[in-house]
Amino acid sequence: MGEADIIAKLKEGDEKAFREFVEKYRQMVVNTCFGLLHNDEDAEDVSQEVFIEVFRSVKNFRYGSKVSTWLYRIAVNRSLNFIRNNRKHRWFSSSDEEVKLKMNILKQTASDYEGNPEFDLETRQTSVLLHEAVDSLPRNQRVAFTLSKYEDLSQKEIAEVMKLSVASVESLIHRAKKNLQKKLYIWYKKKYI
Amino acid sequence: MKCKKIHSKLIFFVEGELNENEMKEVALHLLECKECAAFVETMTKVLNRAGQERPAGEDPYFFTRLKARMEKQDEIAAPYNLWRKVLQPVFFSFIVFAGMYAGIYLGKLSFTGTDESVNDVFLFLNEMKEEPLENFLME
Repeated sequence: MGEADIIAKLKEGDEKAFREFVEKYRQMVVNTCFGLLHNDEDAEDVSQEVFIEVFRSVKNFRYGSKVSTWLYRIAVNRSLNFIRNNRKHRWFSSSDEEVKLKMNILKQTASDYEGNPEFDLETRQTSVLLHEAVDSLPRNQRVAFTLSKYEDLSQKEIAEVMKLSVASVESLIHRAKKNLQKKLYIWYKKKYI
Repeated sequence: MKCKKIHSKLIFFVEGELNENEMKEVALHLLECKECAAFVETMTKVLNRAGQERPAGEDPYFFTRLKARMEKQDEIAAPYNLWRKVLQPVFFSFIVFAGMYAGIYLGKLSFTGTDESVNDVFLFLNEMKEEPLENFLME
């Protein structure tokens, strides 16, 4: 079944077409959400929200953009909303809860790779460092960098998802990399120099 | 001095985004400078991690969980929709009418007395009628 056929059937509320659609795009959506959220459970939770939104709003989908672009846009927006809501929640929570949350993140990072012979402490540390560095970027830089690194999207595709010009995306990724280097260098100096 | 000049280009060297001459220049510097070389090694590891972190492998139960969540949402939404579409307007209309009726009823209650009784109450407020100014001057 082609993309247009699936969308047409989805518009009719066909459950079989929806299943096919989810199976086709699940990895793409989960990876995008994970790139922004850095947590398996959160990524799955937000991915489910993305597909629910797709199912409920597919009637409004016009064939002006690609399905993947539309999906990426929903996934990015949903993930950013999730981060924003979490921050709000954290603002009102006590410092004890924040410590617990950080411990859970570390534990989760460890459990993600448990049983994997390639995984070691250094890999875990590298992951945490990468997540912290990416999270410290301004929102647009973070989105552009994530789509480029986690999803290997071209600058043109990222520009379509973010509704920006290609030049703006190029500039965003360039600045994101410079900022990442700064963050990594600060960490490196603290650890080794 | 050389390190400072090269430093800003390191991440683009790792990503292979420099032109040929710059790539050679940085590569030569890394052969001479152990500190920059070690930092480049660390940065390469961190950036490569982004490409390796792809959690979504095979998951045959994803759709089942998604479907269960959608059904749960529908179950919650059904009574809410009934409340929002039917019961809510009825409830608010009832409150508005009850308020209007109560207002009219209270208004009627407060005006059950005659106009004279009202004047009796407010008579003492009109001092000019009780004690004209002329009387005061005559004293």
